[in-house]
Amino acid sequence: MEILGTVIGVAVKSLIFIVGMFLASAYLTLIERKFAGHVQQRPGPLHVGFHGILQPIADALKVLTKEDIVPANVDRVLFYMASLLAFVPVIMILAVIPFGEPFTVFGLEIKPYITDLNVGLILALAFGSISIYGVIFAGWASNSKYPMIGGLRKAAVLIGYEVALGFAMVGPLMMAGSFSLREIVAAQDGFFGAFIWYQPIAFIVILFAILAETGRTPFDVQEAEAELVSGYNTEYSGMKFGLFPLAEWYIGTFVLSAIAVILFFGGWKGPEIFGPLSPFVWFFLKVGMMFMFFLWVHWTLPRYRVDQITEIAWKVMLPLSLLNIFITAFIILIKG
Amino acid sequence: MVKLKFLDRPKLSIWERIIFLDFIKGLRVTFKNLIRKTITTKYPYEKLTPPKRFRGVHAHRVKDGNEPLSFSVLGKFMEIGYDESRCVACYMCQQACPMPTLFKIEAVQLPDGKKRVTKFEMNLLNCLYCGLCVDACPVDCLIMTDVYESASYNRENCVIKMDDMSDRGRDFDRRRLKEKDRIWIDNEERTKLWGQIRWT
Amino acid sequence: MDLNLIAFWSLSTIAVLSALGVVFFRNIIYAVLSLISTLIAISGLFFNLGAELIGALQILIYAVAIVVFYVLVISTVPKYEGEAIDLKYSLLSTPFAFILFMELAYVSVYGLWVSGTGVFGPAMLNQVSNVKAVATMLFTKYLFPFEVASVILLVAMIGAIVLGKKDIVED
Repeated sequence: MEILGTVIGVAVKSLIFIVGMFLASAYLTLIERKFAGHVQQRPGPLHVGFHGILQPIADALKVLTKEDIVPANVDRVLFYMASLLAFVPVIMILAVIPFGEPFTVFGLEIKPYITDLNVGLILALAFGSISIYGVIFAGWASNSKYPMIGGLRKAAVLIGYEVALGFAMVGPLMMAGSFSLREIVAAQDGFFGAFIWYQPIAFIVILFAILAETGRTPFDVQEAEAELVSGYNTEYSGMKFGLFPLAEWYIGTFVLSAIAVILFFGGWKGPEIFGPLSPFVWFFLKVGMMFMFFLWVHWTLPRYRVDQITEIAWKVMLPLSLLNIFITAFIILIKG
Repeated sequence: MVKLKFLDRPKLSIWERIIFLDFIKGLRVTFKNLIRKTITTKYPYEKLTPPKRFRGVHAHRVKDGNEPLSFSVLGKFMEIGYDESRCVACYMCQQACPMPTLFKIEAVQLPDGKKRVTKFEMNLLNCLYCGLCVDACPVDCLIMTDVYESASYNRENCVIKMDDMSDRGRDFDRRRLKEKDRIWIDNEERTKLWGQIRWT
Repeated sequence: MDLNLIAFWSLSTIAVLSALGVVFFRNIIYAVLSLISTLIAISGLFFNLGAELIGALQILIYAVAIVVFYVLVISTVPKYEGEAIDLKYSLLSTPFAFILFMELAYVSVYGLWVSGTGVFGPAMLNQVSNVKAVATMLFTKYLFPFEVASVILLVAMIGAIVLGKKDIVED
């Protein structure tokens, strides 16, 4: 019976996380559209509900009821599988992200995370990079030129930036002395304890890597709509199409922002001015700010050429992150 | 062997290299736009009135006493009552039109020797709104109005008939005949929308 | 029924089935897909055994970093459907497979005797984390092999750069 209880507990918690993330990502699309609109001096969605507050629901209904076209010469198995391959790993990152310390409600201890592995960060990195297969296989299975080019570009970009991202994360890890995301947060004390003050280089590298990994603008070569119709998801339609941007642009950016916040901005720590909900409010405030920053960059910058992107990855970002490891190690060695 | 030609990239300054100065400049511009007021109109609920010279859906002016001198000559041969389209079926518009099959104009000779226009149709699906037909019209009959909502649910409705055109012309003249012929509705409106324009 | 046992049997079934898929799929991209599936299932087995670090690295390095290059290369070639069983290659690979099998069998049997002994026994591992144990062993007892491996990798990297760097002919 005990096993059954554990299984049900984990399943319910996972379900809450996944459904919550789905709803959140629906509203992240609204945030993005409003933001993009106002950057271009237009109001964005306005008429469905108050200032478009019901627009995500309308969009979801539209996408779900759309005709689902599968082109004749695609590889059907992979074609269906690719959209899930892109979507599932990204949402699996949620399994290792802690949203706060355990707290007690009505005598029941609730842990706002699914697992607290001591290799959480590596696992997040691993899941994040598995989603690359969704893009490549989507490109391959579509049996068409533009998706193919888009998928290969995404692969080339991701290979470079995964390496830079992994090495850049080593800096904060060395300061915290643990892979566990909870312990990394615990290692950051007070306003000036946040790792952003000690690891600016790593932060910049991680910003670039997250932009590249989620395919946001300076690095959105995989779906460069000016060159490759819509990149790897050109042949998709209906909800299969909807899953790709949902996974990449919204859930991906959100969870990676959460990881960046945990690594550099002290996670859920902050002055207790919101009462008992304070950690959650701080965490989501920080993640929201981070997300908005990515939106800001996305709707500002033009696109890099693909060779420039890989050049930046290997020639600038990787040496920078290695330099950061070296400096951090040196300082830790001196200070003891 | 393909010949490769390399062009040098423009050199970046040292600050652009190190702290991504151009990124920061761009971000500043978008942030300024973010906090500005939006400039769009909420289209189905608010509609902009285009300038008088706007090339919208075509219309026919009617015989209302404001005809040009040429009409007094041509009109003698025509059977046109008061408040009817002043088209004289000269086919000038059809001649001027770059699209040969756009106009369908028919006229008959009445027993008393006068001419009466029976059909004047324009297939707006073929129209590119160049305005050459308007320039060609000798009696200032064919005009372009400020109506721009020309979409319809089927193709037949995109062919406009003479009666509708006369109605539209009457309506347009009632609203805007007296208006001064300016690019913008008025300076105040324009300034509100687009800011002060300095004419050189 | 033990939860670990269920996890073990399901994961190892997936691993074995997809390993068979790697061998018998005629479509090369499906073969790669089953390879990924095998590797991920094996990483699940590592998690099941309590070796989270190796499990995570298994996904990160084997399932992604290495296989992605296979996928890159394979997905650029036109659709190729080879023969699943080629007699020549089967015969050629038999001795190698046998040697590999013997090696793995030796390591597994040897591991039966020595696992659980040494500094990092189960009791010690409960106190320090997996990562610390691996790092300690890597940087004390196995420092020399570790450095040699890194030098070999460096040499390989430099070699790859030299090979990949072609002078562009300008007329």
